Amino acid sequence: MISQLYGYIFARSFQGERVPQHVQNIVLRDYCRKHEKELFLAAVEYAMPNSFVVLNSLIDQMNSSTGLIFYSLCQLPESFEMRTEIYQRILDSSSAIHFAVENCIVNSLESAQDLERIIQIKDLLKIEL
Amino acid sequence: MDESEINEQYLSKGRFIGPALDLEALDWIRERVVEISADVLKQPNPNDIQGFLETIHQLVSGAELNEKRLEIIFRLCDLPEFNKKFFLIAKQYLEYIVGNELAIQKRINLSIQMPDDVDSLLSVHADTWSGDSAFEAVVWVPLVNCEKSMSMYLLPPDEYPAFSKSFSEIAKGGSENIFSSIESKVEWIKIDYGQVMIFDQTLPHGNRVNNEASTRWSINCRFKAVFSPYKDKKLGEFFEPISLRPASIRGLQYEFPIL
Repeated sequence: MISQLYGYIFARSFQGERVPQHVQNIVLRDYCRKHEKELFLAAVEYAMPNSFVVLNSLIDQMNSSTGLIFYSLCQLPESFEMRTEIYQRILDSSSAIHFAVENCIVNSLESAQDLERIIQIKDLLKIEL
Repeated sequence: MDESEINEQYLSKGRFIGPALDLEALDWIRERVVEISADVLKQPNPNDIQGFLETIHQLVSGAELNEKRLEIIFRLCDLPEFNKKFFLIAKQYLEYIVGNELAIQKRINLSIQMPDDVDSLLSVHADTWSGDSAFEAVVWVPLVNCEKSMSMYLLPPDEYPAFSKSFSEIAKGGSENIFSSIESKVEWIKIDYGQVMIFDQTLPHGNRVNNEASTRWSINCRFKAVFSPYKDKKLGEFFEPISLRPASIRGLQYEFPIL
């Protein structure tokens, strides 16, 4: 049972959106309160474009009693291969990723596939627009 | 110390250290910190201010510290005079180094680093990596005398080009690896109560486990030229103007004559 979540927020815009860091933190705290999880101080991803250095370092620390909580699934890498590697590493360590805005979790292969479907649809709509 | 000496020190070392420019304001800040901290920790207001701060680890555990620290910050930021007093400690230095029309971070940070506490560490970083503008400088004010592991470290500017070049490789190993790569090159800041430091937050810095006998207390706050570029930390959300010159006030109010 995962009871502790490590926060993960952005210092740069993502998918054309910008959310102030203190607002991202409020959303994480609200999610954890509703789901009765303990929230560890959020780590801020480096502001450099396409950096996932902080995320990779957090994933290394995950285990079966800790998970990650993103502000939004839009903060996942744009590359499908990179996302797949992230899901795999999380599942290999029996951990999970929560997404606060979308109120969803990746904790199994099926849930990762469900999430990918949402991302694919979002990508398609972005191109259509 | 004149303007050119101050600026030369900032440019060559990535920081300037000098005497606080308003000791009365600094003492006022330290007294408020102690009063509020004693209240939060349910202790009587101490006569020995320095002793109280340096030995706070005898009154609070590492697990409780962050919650207490946040409560102290919240109450300090509620004091209407606080930011103005803080500004006065370094005003002239800031006007030389940063500019004479300034924005100040709305909520200051308070660091309390107890001996052997592994939960209050700030791993190596530059503020720009988490959304601060490269045009900001940090005013760092110790409330106790700081040196060695009780203090913070800073990578000097002349070491930065080599660090930057190797960053993509060393960052893969995480923040411990980043620190190992610069450990022998950083400057550990030696600074006493009554002094103030202004440092370049674009340079890698942080702290390690405090292996000294005393607790470190320091306050830091970011300043930038009000009309210089902002990044993720925006004016209004994170910064507010603290000094504007008359020409700017007039300029902000200006409208063309109505046709």
